[in-house]
Amino acid sequence: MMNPLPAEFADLEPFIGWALESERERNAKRYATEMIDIQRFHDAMVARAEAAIAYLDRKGFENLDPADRELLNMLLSLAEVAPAVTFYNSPQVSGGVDPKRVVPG
Amino acid sequence: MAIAKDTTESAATYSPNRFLSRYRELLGTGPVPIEPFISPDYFARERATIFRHCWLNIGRVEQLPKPGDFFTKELEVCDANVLVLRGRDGQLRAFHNVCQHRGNRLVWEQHGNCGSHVSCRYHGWSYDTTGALALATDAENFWNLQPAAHHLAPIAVDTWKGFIFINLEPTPAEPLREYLGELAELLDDYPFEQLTTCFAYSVRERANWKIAATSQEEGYHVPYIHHQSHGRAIYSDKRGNYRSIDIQLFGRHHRILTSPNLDFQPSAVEKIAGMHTAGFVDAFAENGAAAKTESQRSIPGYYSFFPNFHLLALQGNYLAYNFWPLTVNETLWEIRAFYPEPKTIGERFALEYGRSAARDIVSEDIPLHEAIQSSLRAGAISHFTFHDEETCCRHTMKLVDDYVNGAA
Repeated sequence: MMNPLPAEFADLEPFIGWALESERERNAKRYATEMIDIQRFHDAMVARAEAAIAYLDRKGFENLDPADRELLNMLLSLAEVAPAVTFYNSPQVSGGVDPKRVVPG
Repeated sequence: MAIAKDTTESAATYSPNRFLSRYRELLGTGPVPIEPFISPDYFARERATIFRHCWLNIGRVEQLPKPGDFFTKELEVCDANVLVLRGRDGQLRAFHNVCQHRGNRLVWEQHGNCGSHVSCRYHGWSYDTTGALALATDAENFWNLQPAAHHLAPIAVDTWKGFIFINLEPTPAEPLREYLGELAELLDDYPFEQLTTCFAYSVRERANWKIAATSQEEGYHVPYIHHQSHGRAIYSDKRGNYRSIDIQLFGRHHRILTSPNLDFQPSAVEKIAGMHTAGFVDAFAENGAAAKTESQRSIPGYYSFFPNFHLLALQGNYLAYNFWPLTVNETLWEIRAFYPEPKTIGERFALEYGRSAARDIVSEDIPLHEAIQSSLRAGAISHFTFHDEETCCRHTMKLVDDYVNGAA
């Protein structure tokens, strides 16, 4: 169940679906999302990323509450979609292997 | 961060065939036949002459910090399942993961802590962490059982800079450090021990292990297949051709030194990540002013240790690749990236970007390896023609051939 974001990042609530715990979930959502929506998420997060990093760093890893963790996971989703935006202009790796074959661990 | 230009030669003075001119007597200059990639007989000889004979990297010491910690690894190419164990005495040991009663697999977990003993689940035989038989259940009903004759079968193991290597020869032909030679010395100053946060991927590729391994041993392909990704950050000359700083062969091993593209324009996310860790260009840069020694200055590069262990040693992080042959037509490519433990959210973010970028970059390579293997099996190409920047591929093929033909 999703938690609300920290109050000063309430503007990112429309993208709360990207607050995902694991790399596999974030990668699967990237591959399941249209490029136009990836771009919207990316642009919204880029505009707020430095503020979000600074906010979370003021609290420190040990002191993140559930709302902060949602924000952190959205930052990690930004890292996940960055190659889609910067490299490929597509959710997929151009000519790339099925991502399910590249197994973590 | 000040980034030095490629200091060895200016792009304008790169002469054609600068590496083969240096190495042609050793390597030859002609086409290389494709039989070694598709012949089951050649593969069988590789297994016997290379993988049962050479030192093989199978992990890092951080996987076994405490007494009793262990991991197991299936090495199909050696027909072996290996148990690596840190003893109660702190000593690292490796064994065939085989109970000496009836040959059952001893440890079934991939990693864990065994405490003071490992026990076989078949009949309950138990071994201490030195591999000695500690308990044979109902021992008096064996005829004259000699526990000393039932020690776990040892495998030679040693470490270099925290990398664990095993060797399946009962008596390895040379010690690990000698085997790794001069190339390892060039990494003596590299802070592997500080880069302990690891993310790992593995992929089973329908390609011969040498297709996968040699594909990483050249930069000629970077401006093409990787033009959308890290090709943007790697130096090419004015005509768009990749030019390494240098290719250097050291006995069985070699390295490629690569320059960054100083005109690289980082994306928005790459800029944010670059504030918290070495960015694409910094990672490859020769960090002129800050480098304390000549060897530090020249570290960023691609280090290939024969037969199947490669390190992309960058500033701030490194990648380790292991290419494990499964069959003549199939390979397990293990990809590990190592970073400093993230202390801040910014570092955590930068690490995650490094992870998604690295995963996507190798995802660009894999379909090509499989297409090549399929082309070779079709008999549609008889030889490879290696470019000067592909000199390391030529070297690897020569080394493999020397082992297989008893000339190594």
